[in-house]
Amino acid sequence: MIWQVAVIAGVLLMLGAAGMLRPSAVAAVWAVARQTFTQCLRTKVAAVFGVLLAACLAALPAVMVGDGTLAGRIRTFLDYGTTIAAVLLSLVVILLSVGVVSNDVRDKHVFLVCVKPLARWQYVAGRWLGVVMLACLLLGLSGAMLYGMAEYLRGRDDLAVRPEDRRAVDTEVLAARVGVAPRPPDVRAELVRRVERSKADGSWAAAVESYRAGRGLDAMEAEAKLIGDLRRELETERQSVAPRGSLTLRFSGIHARRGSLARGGKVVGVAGDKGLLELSCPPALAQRLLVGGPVRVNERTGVVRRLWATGFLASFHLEDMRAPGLAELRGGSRAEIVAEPTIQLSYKLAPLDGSEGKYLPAAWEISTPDGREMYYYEEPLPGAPTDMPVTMVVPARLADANGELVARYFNPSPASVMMNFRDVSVLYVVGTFEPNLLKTLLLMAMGLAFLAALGTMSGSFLSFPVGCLLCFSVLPFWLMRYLLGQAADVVTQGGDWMVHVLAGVLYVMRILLPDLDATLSASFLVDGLAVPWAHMAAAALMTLAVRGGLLLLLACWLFSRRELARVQV
Amino acid sequence: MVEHADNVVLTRKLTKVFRDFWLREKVTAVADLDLAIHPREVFGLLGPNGSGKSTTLKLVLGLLFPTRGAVWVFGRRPTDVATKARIGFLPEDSHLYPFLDARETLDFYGRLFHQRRSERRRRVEMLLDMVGLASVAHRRIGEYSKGMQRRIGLAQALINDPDLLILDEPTGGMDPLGTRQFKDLIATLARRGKTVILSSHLLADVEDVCDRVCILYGGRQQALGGVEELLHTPARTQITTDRLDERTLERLAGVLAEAGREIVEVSSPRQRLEEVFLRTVREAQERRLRTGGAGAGGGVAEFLRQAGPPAADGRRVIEQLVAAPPQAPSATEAAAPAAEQPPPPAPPQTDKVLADLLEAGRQKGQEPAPAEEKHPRRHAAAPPDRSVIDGLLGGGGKDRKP
Repeated sequence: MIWQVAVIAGVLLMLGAAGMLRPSAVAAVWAVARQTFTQCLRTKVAAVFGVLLAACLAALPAVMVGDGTLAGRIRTFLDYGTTIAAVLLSLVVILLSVGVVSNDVRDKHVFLVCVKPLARWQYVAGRWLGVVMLACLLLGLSGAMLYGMAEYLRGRDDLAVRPEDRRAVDTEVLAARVGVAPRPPDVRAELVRRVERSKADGSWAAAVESYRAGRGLDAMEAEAKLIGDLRRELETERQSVAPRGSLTLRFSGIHARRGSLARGGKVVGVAGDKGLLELSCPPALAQRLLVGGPVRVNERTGVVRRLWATGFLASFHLEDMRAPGLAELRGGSRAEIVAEPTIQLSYKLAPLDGSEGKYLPAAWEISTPDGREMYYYEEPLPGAPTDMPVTMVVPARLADANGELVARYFNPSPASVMMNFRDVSVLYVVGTFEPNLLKTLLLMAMGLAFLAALGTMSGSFLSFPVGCLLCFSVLPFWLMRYLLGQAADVVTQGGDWMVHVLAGVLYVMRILLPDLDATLSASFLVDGLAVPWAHMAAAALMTLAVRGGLLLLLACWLFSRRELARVQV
Repeated sequence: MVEHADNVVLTRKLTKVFRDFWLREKVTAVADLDLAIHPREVFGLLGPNGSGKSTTLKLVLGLLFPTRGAVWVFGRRPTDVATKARIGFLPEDSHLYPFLDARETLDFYGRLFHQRRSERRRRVEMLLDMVGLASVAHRRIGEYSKGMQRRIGLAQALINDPDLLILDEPTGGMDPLGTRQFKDLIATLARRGKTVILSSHLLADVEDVCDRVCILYGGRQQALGGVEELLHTPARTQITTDRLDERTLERLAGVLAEAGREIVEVSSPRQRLEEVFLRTVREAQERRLRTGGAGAGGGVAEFLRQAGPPAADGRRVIEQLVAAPPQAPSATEAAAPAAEQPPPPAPPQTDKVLADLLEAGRQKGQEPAPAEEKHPRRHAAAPPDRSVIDGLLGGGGKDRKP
């Protein structure tokens, strides 16, 4: 973070040194930007965009219902809504940013502007800034529409059939959560052991030679590649769970908010042999509970199975039901009920037999690292769906003061199960939806600012249609950014110099093209995850300052060398 | 550098060649042009279509880059920001943003000169009043007629009270009223020591306002000099007087015959259509007839009439003093007949004819001729023999009656 701030400060200092931030220069840029903003507004682009977006957003909830739950419906709406807004805005920004410069040259408006005391770079920067200002306005409108529609859906009683539906929306969708991944499996010791064993029995040299010959590598590269493959194989082994086996995951850095809510309640009914208790409680306490989440009754922790506005049904371990605190409870008894702060554990199961669309039984034991406190959870029938994220709620107190927590998964099914560590995370709420939406819009604004720089650069030396064509032809490369990177890695394995040149070109393209997916897509918001500040700083630095700045500098250079008039003799 | 400082615009072997996509030479728009435009000069660029006038102006403005040679404006490169702060430009077509209204347009261009808000507003209102568009300033430029757009274009060119005003076909699309006001404006600016470069097909406009002209053809300079110098016809004399009867004409012919001359043409002078038009419109305005177009327009904006900036050097002070209105003449000087002033360089025989005519006028009790104006080039000249210009332009002056 510090180095990022230092780089930004360095860039600002250099700009200042170059005289770009002189008051007169800033005033000139601002004058052009204001005029550009007015121009874009009055060309009715904003109005058309607004109508189009409003129509799409209004129609979305009726068309896209997700998994049918309220949370799923809102998540799907946010997913498609932000995607539509991003696509429409990208189109608008590219068309406008190419047009405001190239059409100015075509219609000779520059004759009057560029003869005024205005450096060419100030004109280009002003044009870019004006388009970015309009993009921010439209983005704000989009955000307002998305927020309004999401709130409207959340408030619809006909969609929130169960009380937990609305609670799920509040804690999983319209929330800002932090995700903590488990520590990756440490396979170093095992890797060393296996390599040593292989070297001892003489099979290592043959394996390296096989890699060298098969992939055209030298001996060192072949050995490194072989070790990498071995490591991945071991990691896969560690992430698979045999029938009736278990897998332990360790988490650290969990700093969920503490603070529980305790209220008195009354026992409505007891089914001691089934470990069930029905209690009535104040609405304020019921609102803090989650179906599937923990609740403490007279110092014993149970799981909320059903929830009402003024009561709940909870299940307890049979041993706890017989222990002091719960054993003496009868209908009408008073009990101390504590709604604890919770965290969520999200995971995904993949059966190794390749079957899909199944449900698998799953049981978890969550505990503090020292094992003093434990929480058991078993997925109710029919179990956890495979290949889909499943979220369970556990008490936040299980993460100790150092933010460490241990989760052990038990596989009761007769089939082996794969649990990829990347698909497992502990989630806890750190903020509300509104600031998270704002941060998401800021990220999108950075992506749009980059596109505006790309459009301005194209318009600075090309006509409007050709400039648009250039921009739109770059977009597929952006989408294929990761493929390009992989292709570059693949081709470097050959020895031909032509291949290395090609790899170099691919590498440069990967560097020049920003990861617009990290800015224009709202994946954090859709998943109910807080947008990390580090992610925003990285986007601001790499997408906006470095790549966008480079494009703007190129635009200024091209425009300052362009003759603004044509032959008329 | 001294040469640069002495000239507002200086070009040396200025050449502009336009090339096609394959960099093959397509056309030479300007070739080896040497121009030196002095401070406080109204300079005309003349030439038929495609002669390179507009290209020359664009090179001076930095909108085009020279292929060869160089151009300096106020001693610097045309693209220099400090140079551009002293220039006002009105292009051949207005090229204004159609979605802005007149007030927003002038405000935008004023901002580019970093003018304070209060000063900007003051100038915008004065300019709107000056060009007669104050009542329609709320309408967008795209709704204006071509002439109204030209007026706003002129206003934007003056927003910074420029030291150098470059006008490319300025009166195209303007009605005679606007044309008249435009000429008045040029005269006002010239009096304030501004430099004006004017490119026009309308030779009457150029002739009325310019001190010097350069005639271009094929991108090359064909003639360069003062308007008087180019238009003066030493071989002829024209006399304008009250209507003469047949007898007086016969006597006059006799006098001329004695001097070995003959009358070439006798006619009653006609009013110029411009004068009739201006009088008619003025009367309509006095009757307060409504119009959705441009209004009468006020006088030249106050900030354009104010005294120019303090002299930069001693030489400028001297020039200003020289250019200042002369002291009121003494009674003796005022009463002295014009014939007693130093004689102009004319043939002796012509002098004699004039002396005779003046003597006859005195006998009739006429007032003595008024003193010569400070800028005789604009008003005192006889109708010109435009053979030099017409010959070069190939009939370019057909739009003016002989």
